[in-house]
Parts: sequence; C-alpha cells; structure tokens
Amino acid sequence: MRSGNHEAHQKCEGRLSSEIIKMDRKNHKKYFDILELDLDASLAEIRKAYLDLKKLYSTDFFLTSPISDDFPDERRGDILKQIDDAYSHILALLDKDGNIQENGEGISYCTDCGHDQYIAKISAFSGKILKELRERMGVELHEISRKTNISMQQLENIELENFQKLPPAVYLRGFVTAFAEYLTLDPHKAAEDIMKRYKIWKDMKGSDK
Amino acid sequence: METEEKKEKAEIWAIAGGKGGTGKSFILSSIGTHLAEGGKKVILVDADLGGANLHSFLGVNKPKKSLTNFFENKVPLSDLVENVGNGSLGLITGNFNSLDSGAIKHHQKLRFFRQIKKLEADYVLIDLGAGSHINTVDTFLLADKMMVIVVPEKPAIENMYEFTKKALFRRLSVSFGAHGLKYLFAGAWENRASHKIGNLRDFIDFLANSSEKAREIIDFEISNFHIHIVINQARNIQDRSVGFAVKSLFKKYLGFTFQYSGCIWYDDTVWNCIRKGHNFMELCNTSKCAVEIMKLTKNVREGSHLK
Repeated sequence: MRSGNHEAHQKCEGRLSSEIIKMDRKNHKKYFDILELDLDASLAEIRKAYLDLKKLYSTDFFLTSPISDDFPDERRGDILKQIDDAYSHILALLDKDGNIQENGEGISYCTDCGHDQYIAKISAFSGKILKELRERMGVELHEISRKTNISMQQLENIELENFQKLPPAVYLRGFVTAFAEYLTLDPHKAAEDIMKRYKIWKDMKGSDK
Repeated sequence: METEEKKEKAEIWAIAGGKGGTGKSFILSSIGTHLAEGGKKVILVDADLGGANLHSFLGVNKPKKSLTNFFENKVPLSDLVENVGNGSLGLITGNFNSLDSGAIKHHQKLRFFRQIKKLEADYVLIDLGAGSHINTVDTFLLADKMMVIVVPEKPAIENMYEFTKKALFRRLSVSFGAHGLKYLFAGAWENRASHKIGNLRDFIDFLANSSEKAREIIDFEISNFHIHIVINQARNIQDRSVGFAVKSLFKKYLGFTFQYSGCIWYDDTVWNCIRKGHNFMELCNTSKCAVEIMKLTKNVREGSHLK
C-alpha cells in the first residue's frame, strides 16, 4: 500500500543522487574496483559487470601465448574467486534499489561458501538447481529473458520443470543452453542433465495411456 | 617594447601498436587534420621505422627533407617541418631506418627528444609504426598521451599486449636507474630463472618486495602509466568489447589502467579515399568514421573513455 509520503517520491524510482550513492559506497571501493565499476553503478550494471568478467576469465580469450602464459590456471582461478567475492560482498550491502541499507540484510548471496565450490559439488543440473544458482547470483528472470529472447514464462517453466508447458526437445535444449550460458554455467552439461530429466518425463507420459 | 610571451609546451601524443596495418598512420593523420581544422597548430612526426607514409594519408608528396637530415646533417628539427594542408598542420617525415639503432647514437637520441619537446605547436603527434625497437619504445614513453591501436584480431592484440609490457618494463627500468637502483633491477632480471620469475608480474612483485624504495617507485610508475587504447575496424559488438577485455586484463594483471578512448567502425569509404590519395578527414568529414575519430580526439584530450 502506498502511503501519502511525498518525500519518498523525491528519490526518483528509489535511487538517491549519484553523489550520495558514491559517498555511501566509498568504504567498499575495493570491491567496486575488482568489478571495474564506478562507485555509482546501478544494480543492473553491477550484475552485468559480474557476468562479463566471469565470462572473460573463464573462456578462451586466452587462446594462445603470450596472454595465456601470463594467466595460468591458478591465477585465473584466483581472479575468478576475487570476482565472486566482490560481487557477493556488494550484493550483501545493497537493497533492491541499489542503496546501502543499514541492517546488514542485503540481497542474499552466499558469502561463506565459494560459488565455484558450490558449482563443483553439483553432480547433475535440474530446474531447481538452475533456479537456486540464479538466485544466488542475484540475477532476475527478466534480465535473462531480455538477453536471450526467451520469455520469462518459459524460463520459469524450465526452473519448475513444467515440461508439459515447454516446447519440444529440440527447442527446449536451446533454451536450457542459453539459460545456462547466461549464468556462465557449463551449457552442455546443463543441457545434457536437464534433457535427461525431460526424457524421463516424456517416457513416463508415453506409458500412461 | 614587446614582452616575450612564455610559450606553452606542445602536448605530445604518440601512437604505436606493435603490429603493422592496424591503422596507426591513418588515425594519427586524421586526428592531426581534425585538430588543425579546429585552429590548433599541429606538427606530425613520422618516426615509423618501417618507412614513412604519413604524407600519403595527408594527400601530399613526400617532403624532400626528413629525419635523416636531422640525424646525419644535424639540421634542427624545427627546420624540417613542412606545411601541409591549410597552414596550421605541419609534417616532419622520416625514412626507412630513421630510428634504427645502428645509425643513431645515444646522444643523438637525446638530442632528438630535446628538440621534439621544444617544437612550437599546440600538439606534436608522433607516428611510431609497428615493432618494439627500443628507440620506438623510448619515443613512445616520451609522450604526454600514449596511444596504442589494435584491430580486434588475435595477432594484433598479442602484439599490442607484448608492446605494452615492453613499454612498462622500460619505464620501470629507466625509473629504477634514475633512483640509483639500476643494479637491483638489472640483477633481478638477469637472475630471473633462479628467482623463479616467470613473467612480468612475478618480476614486478619480486622488485616490490626487495625494498620499500623499490615498492614506492613501482607503485608510483604503475599508477601513472596511462595508455589510451583504440579499437580500429570494429565490425560488431564483440569487437567493441575487445577494448573492455584488454582494459580488464591489464588492470588485473599489471595493475595499471588503460583508457578505452575510441572504437572506430570498419568503413569502406576510408579505403576508397586513401586509394585515391586524398586526406580522408578533409574529404569525408561527415562520415561515421570521421565522427568517431573526432570523438576519439576529444576523449584523449579530455581523458574521458568509453563505457
């Protein structure tokens, strides 16, 4: 319920002015530096920077020496961990409008266990796990929808494994691949694992005559 | 009675890149033309070791006098400036092997640097061509604004990457020498195998840990090492993002900041114009490419960058 509080309306769309934002966040500058962001970056910019950097240091940009010589796997691993840590710290500080909130309960993101260890422990992907990972990374469905051109409804159906509402296998596989890629997860493994579950559902459906 | 006005020093820009054919001469001559059209006094210096060709991009014949006259006949640098175009644009042309170390002794190089700094102009723009010869690198490091340019292809990126590391290494080497730590630097480098130094990062870390003074020098030089990167002949968004990727790599690896100053899209009209021997900026100054070069010039002058 909207109150008649006009002061709230003065902070347009819930964001404070750029100067106030920068001042609030100054103490956490080092995390913004790791994500190579200006201090007054919006939540969307923060998420984009996180995903772009994860992709850059995870993929084959370093195809040949000399660049790959300077970034051996160990160093890349350290950088990826730094990026994860910086992102989780920043998210933990902010409310949904991107303002620093006082009570220490920001957008929840696991700050204790490393994101990469969590992923490594996953033996097989499922819709539920995709949803969990998406939420841990603080990514909203509408962002993925905009970037991949897959409707939010379909993305939700994938997470809930509403196979009856999803398109045939050949399209579904593409959706899952795009979804996983956006989250910088292994797209092939995600597609394999979820299509296996799809097949199980399909076989069971076929046997219910 | 006339009072002598104190002339402000010219701002020196240098462009290099490691690999040939990436568009350094085209972009530099275009920037020079644009600045001159804005009323600035500009001197272009063609110091490309591989052979001078700036004049071709400016649509003029190669001047008879060149840097060879400077090095061999001690002609003052200011006497070698040839007016091209509308009058506030000048060119000092070079020759094959102008800066070759065989021909140039150290004191001549210093003379060259001294006279470059004394050229009377608002801007002195130096085209250094491809390669990372030590004289090329030293001339590069002389500039107030250092620019590297790449096309978004692996070989060009790798060459630029190597060139930039060489430039940083050289800057540190000179700085350590100036602070009396020449032997620390040289010794650490010569014995790098035994110190398990595998790359430039390891080397810098090793030096920084060797003494407080060394650490201060390194922190200072790295935080003041500003290079402007330009992506040329971009064809899509991925190409444009190469600039951000390179910026990130250097920030994470060596700790210094690349300014991503320009992304010039591929444009056929450029090639057609050059082939006919015209000055692109004069002839096609409403084309998309020309507009981007103007933006690039503004970004380098003002220190702003692409987001």
